[in-house]
Amino acid sequence: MSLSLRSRRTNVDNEQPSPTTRSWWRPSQFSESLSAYVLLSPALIIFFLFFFLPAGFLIYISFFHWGILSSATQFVGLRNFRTLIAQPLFLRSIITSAYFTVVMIPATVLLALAIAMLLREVVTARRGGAWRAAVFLPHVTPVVATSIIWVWIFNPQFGLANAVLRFLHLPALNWLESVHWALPAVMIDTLWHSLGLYVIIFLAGLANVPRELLEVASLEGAKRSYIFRRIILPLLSPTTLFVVILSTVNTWQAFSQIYTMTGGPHGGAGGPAFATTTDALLTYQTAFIYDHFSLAAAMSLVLFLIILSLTLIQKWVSNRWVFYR
Amino acid sequence: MGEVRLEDVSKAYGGQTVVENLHLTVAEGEFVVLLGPSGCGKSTTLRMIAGLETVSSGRVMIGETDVTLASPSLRNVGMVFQNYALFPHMSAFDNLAFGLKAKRLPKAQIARRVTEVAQMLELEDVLRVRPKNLSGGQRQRVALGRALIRKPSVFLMDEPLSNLDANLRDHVRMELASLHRNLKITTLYVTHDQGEAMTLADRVVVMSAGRIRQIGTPEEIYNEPADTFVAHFIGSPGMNLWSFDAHGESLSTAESSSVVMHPSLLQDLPTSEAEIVIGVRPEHLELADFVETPGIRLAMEVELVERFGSHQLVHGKLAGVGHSIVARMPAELKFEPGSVRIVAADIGRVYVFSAGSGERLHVQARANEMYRAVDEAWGKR
Repeated sequence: MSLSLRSRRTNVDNEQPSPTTRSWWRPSQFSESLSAYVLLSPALIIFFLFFFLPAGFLIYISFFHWGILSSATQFVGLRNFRTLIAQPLFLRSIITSAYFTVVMIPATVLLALAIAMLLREVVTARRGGAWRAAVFLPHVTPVVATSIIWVWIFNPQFGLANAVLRFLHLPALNWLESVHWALPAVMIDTLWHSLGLYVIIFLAGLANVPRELLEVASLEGAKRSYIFRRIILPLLSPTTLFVVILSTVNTWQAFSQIYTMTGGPHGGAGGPAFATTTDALLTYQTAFIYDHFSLAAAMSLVLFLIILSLTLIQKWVSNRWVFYR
Repeated sequence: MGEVRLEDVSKAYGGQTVVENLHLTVAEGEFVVLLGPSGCGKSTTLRMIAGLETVSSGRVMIGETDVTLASPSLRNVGMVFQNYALFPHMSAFDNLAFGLKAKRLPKAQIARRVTEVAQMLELEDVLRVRPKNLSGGQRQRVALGRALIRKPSVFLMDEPLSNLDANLRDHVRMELASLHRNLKITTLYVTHDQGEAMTLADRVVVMSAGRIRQIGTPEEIYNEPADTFVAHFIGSPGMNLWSFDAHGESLSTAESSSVVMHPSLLQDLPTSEAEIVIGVRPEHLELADFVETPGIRLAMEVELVERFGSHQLVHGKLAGVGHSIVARMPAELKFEPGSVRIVAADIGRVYVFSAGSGERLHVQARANEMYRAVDEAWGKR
């Protein structure tokens, strides 16, 4: 903000004989910039203290042997990373995270888009606001609270999930106690909790598709499915990319619901038999249960690099399918 | 079969009626312009014909088919929108071919039709270009081509020229006229620009507040306005309209008065009309000395002069009455603000309207007859 103000002043101010002279140091300009930084400082300080500083510190301790209670630090180079690679559990946690993400992203995108398409028809109607609120509400309720509700839903004896299965004459499942079904159960909770946000994003994207284009398409004799494929999807592609990136990041970082639903009885590391131990959960267990902060820092760094590279790949691939107006 | 018939068509949103009891028949091959100010219901009417808006009551017929409830895709209409509504992610070719591809026509046939239309509209060189990189005129032509390529029975255009700059607008207007001359597709064209309406239309439909005020050829609309709305809306600037007490003193036939009417114009006024509106177009006002048979003579107090090079618009007030007046005068005449000039209009150019309903009182027709009689008498002499 201060930059644009400064350049505007430089252009219109006739007092300065040479337009090439930098004038940011002049008293009026300086005070303007200063006031801008003063106003920004609360946000900048918070951002620095709670984001950049811990992130920098994390990178730092990942190359050291560091304990939260001991002041002694010892540089160990890449030893933490070598330890990680040698750990089968770490590799497994990455595979679990990848599985979680690979299932969640298409499910999220498809379901959110489908719900948004349905809601698009009703949001303009009388109770449109109520529908939107109903979809968005799960997202704004605390994830720990809703996850506890889902623990009850997935209770093998009296849970709603098994009641539904029994009603459909399907065999009841052990859900959170089953190696095969614990992660899908967590996925269902995650999907239910996060969907509202993505539906709202898609609704905003759909609102940006000009009505005339859809009208022209229908006048030209195109069927609904054809209009969806040829007009809506391409014009929605930037929104879809955004949702894909956001859900990738959120899914790789997912922690609270996994910990609440499956962490407690399994030493905080997700279970049964590490069935839901994602990278984020293993990092938590390594740091806060086993006190290996340096190792956990190295894990976080690896997680960061994975998410960064996935995002970059998505961005790169998106050049082929995303259309920006 | 391209005849379009609207039978008692109304459209209401909630409790608000935007189009009321519309009756209109557009003959096959005819070019009809719906003209009116913003919010008069002209675009809604067009959209009801296209099927993009439902009809609250009444019937829409295309040819012999009742399409009131038919979906837009079944009506075989082509439409051009104000902002062209080109698909931004498709090339000009794909935009043109959209309707044909949606109908799953063979590729070779699509390519042939696109080439034909592109040739007709001079778009061959830009077929691979996306709308973003096309000029305004080219976008316009792609939109036209897309609507034409399916050979629709009715062609609908919603203010298609309003996004073009003035020069291009004139050019495209002429292109539209020649396109219609060649293709003879029944066309409904919505605009608020009377210039477009007058130059393009076979018939003009003047609308206001959801109702049709007058239907007629451009000449009829201009020369025989049905009411004060049409009289004022058509023409640039619109007709001068002054209301007078029909039997009062300000409207006098006496030479000394500031507004002098030809006696024949006041003779047959219906007695029910306490107040009447006299209308004269600015371009029909001349300096009194040049008018042979004045229907009205006015003392004009000059206030402001706008010079346009080819002519000038003289704004002022009727001396002693206070009504404002605009006169279009030749550029070479001198008008000094503050001076009083006597202007007049020929007896055939003075219109009388009812002040209550705004409708035209056809005293002028009788006046014209009288005028001809006077002429003949002069001729005989």
